[in-house]
Amino acid sequence: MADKNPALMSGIPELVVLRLLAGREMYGYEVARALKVVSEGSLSFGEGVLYPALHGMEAKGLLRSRPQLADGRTRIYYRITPKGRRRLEELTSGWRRVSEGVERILGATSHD
Amino acid sequence: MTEYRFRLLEIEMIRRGVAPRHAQRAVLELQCHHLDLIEHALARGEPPEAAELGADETLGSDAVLIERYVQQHELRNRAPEWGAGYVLAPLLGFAGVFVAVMVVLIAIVTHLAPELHHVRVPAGLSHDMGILIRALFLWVIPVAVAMAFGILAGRQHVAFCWLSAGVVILAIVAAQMNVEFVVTGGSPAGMVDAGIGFSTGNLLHELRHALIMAALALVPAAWLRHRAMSRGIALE
Repeated sequence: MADKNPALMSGIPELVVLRLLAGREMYGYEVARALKVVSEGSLSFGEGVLYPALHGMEAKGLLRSRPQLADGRTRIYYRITPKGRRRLEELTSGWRRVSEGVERILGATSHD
Repeated sequence: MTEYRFRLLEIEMIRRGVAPRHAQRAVLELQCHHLDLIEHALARGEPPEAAELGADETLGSDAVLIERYVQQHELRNRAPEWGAGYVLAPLLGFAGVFVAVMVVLIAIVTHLAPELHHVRVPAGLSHDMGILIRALFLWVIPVAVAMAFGILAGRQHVAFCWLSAGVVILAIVAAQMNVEFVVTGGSPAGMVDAGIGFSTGNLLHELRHALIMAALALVPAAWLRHRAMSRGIALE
């Protein structure tokens, strides 16, 4: 599936990060924690790879960032932009279509 | 992951073509994330060594991280593609600043014209003002603009040859310029004049002027690059 639909597979990190940031602005560590908590640990990844995803989304105008000094550290907070919200809607509906299709196939093959 | 490893990570990202500002920001955020992971592990009662090892593991491998950055086209360093633009950019920058400062000066003099009709500016003061204005236009502005482009080129990892060519062109043009700014008071209140022209009689003087200006801008730029290279992040 990853080979046949790379756009969809590469859209998963984008989808989940945009979904989390649609709720409130967060910095990288908070996004990683939220991903772990909300997915109940089912999404496993090196947390460092969040940053290229966040920076890439910011470069595409899906996110906006602002630095904030806290406890002697500069944290970069990210928030979703209107363009990011539109992208989130696209990705969400695309993902729902695919997952429903897969569910139907799984259901059909389990009855055979 | 130690400070040294983060530094190596930044160097490797830049070496692989990630824009320096993205690499620097990545390291800033990763360091912060790493410290958060350690602090939370320590708060859970883990010993410091285990907390640090756990943080390294949670953050993931450097190789994967670098690869992810390299794959993002939006985060690539575009400077090498338009480095040749630095041949003309300092000259255009100089022209822009020159015109802007000239417009400001003319506006000031125009605004003060009614008052200047009633005063007489001493010849010595008028002469000194002329020297200062000439120094501003023919030395300070071109050198400052060239230095600014030197810093910008260094940050963007533009090849030194492009910057050198641009600064030398700017220095040669600036050395050929003449600026006259005379405020006398009374009626007429004075004059503002700027021009550019070659003077074969003063060629040696102008060449020396150009060389000094180019050196004033390029030596600090070369030193900054040398310092960056000794830290291992220069790309050329």
